[in-house]
Amino acid sequence: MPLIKVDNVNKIYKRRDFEVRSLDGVSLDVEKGEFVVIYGVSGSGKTTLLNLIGGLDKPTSGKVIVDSLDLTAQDEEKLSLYRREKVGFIFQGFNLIPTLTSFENVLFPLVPVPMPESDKRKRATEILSQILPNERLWNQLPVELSGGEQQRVAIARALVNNPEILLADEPTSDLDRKTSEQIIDLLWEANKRGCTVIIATHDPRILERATMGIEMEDGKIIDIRKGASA
Amino acid sequence: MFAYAWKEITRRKARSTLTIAGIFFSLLLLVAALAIMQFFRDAMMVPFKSAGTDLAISSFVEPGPFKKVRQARHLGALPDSLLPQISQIPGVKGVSGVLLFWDYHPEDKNLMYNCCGVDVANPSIGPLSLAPSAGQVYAVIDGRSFSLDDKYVAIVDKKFAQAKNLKIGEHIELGYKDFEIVGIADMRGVPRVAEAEIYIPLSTAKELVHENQPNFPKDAVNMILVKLENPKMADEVKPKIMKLVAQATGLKPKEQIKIMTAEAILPDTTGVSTVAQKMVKVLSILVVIGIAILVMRTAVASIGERTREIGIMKALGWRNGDISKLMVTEMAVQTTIGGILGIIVGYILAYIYASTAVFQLPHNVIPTSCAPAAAPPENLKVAMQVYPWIVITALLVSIVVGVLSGYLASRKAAALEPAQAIRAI
Repeated sequence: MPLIKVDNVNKIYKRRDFEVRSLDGVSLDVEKGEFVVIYGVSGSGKTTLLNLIGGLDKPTSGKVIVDSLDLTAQDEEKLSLYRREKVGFIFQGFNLIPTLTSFENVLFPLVPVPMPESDKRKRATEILSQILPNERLWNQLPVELSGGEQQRVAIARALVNNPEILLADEPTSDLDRKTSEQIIDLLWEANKRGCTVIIATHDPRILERATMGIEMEDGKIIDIRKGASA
Repeated sequence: MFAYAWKEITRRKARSTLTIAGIFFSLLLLVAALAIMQFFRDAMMVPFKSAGTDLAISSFVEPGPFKKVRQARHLGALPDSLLPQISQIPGVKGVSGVLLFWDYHPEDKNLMYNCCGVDVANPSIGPLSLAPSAGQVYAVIDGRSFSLDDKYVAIVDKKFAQAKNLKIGEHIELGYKDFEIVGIADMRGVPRVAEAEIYIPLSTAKELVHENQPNFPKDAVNMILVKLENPKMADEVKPKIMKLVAQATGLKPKEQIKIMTAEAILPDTTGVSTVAQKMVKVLSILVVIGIAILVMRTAVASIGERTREIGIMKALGWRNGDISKLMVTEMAVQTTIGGILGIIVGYILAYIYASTAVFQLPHNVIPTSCAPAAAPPENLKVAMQVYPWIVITALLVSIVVGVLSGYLASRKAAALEPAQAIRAI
């Protein structure tokens, strides 16, 4: 049984007087520990597919099963717990909370988690030490950080709850070449530590690291390539 | 959670200030209005409490002919037979009669002495009541109190004694009779029902008044003080007393018979009518409701601005319940801050008002002469207290408004689809 099974999924967004078919009969199996890159032009359905796997959205039809849990059959409460325990998100454009420092942003997903405050801080310190070693930056607000530093904080935030699946939507879109490579390295390291990584991008450089490459167009998967440097 | 709530409050300064200011001003108004109204009621209770009574019954007649001794002001006779009848009314705990009269002293710079005959057998009700009420002792007597066989003895007010340079053991003349001063009463500047300058036993007072004014019945008093089992029963008991007095005297109820209570003297004494009091209270409550609705609408509207943040929260595993806790904490903190400030400033305003307020008690409560030797205090000045029920009510209102606003906002937040919220980024 694959870690993630997407089975004949359709997603239709209803607008006032028309419908947008964002996903059209998508099926996909992802094994544990894979480094998956979904690529395609804007509007091809990459983000929608990530959202469905992350339990942020539900398909119009079809099933999304993660670790034997049918996400399409879960209520919002259960999906929240699923996101908290199994998934880490890296959003397009960082999306850090502007009033919180780097450290507080990393701590943010753990705030509602019932565990001792000291353990939460310890966990945030551990992850930040690996991803953003310059401690001086931990007390800085996002606005005081460079794009690469902000993305590092966003990655630390995504990994702080020790997720099985890391979902990244255009993680290098706002970054220069050198910083992009550093960010890809971090995602690669997370994958090496056992985290299944799924990245939606139109940056071909990320494909070089992929164990599975999925090309999308108009809501359909038009090509799946497997193996290292897919 | 609190730390994040606080950051959010400080981040959205304009919205937070609006919420805090709205609650602040509405609760300021509510607290000041309630505190002043309560202060009025408490102040009006003082003259009654200090005399150990809840009701003061008197009748109004044409004043008698000018004599050496005459009944005070327009107070008419109330037959002694009324006392046992009133004491039978359910809810009545004790009854006592007093006879207020003036003693005219042409040789003493045309002054009139304010005198009161008190029932020596019933010392707990009357102007010389020594019973502590609400933890306060309102009068202290140097010398001794009256005993049952006293006749021509007097207890004089301390101010009067100082003005006349009178001491215990000395004598004073009333109605051409000689009275030995056996006590000096220190009323501590607190006005009380049926207060006078000179107190003598009731039986002796009846004798003096009747001798000087034969048309004033011998077995009568001119004010009846009634202690109730519960002051809240006043409205229930008053009509029954009114009926009994009307039957016994033949006087017209309400027009000629007055039953004074703290509540009844409030409008005339404070200059604020009962209707005005109610209006102020209702107006304050309406303002609080209006502001509460505004705060709730603001809180719900703020969700529109926070769609992105809520989307991130949901994506990071915050449950709707967690978001709800954050919203409720944020709103409750803001409204509680506004509430506490409103309570403090409202109380300061009420305190300033109370410290300058002096109430002149009506003559049917203290029927002093227009030319007293050493006027007993008619002007009531009472210190404002902190009323815990007002503080608790205001605090609860502010917290409830906050919790409700946070809850309504969180319901809107819960309805947001995480993916949609993130797409709004």
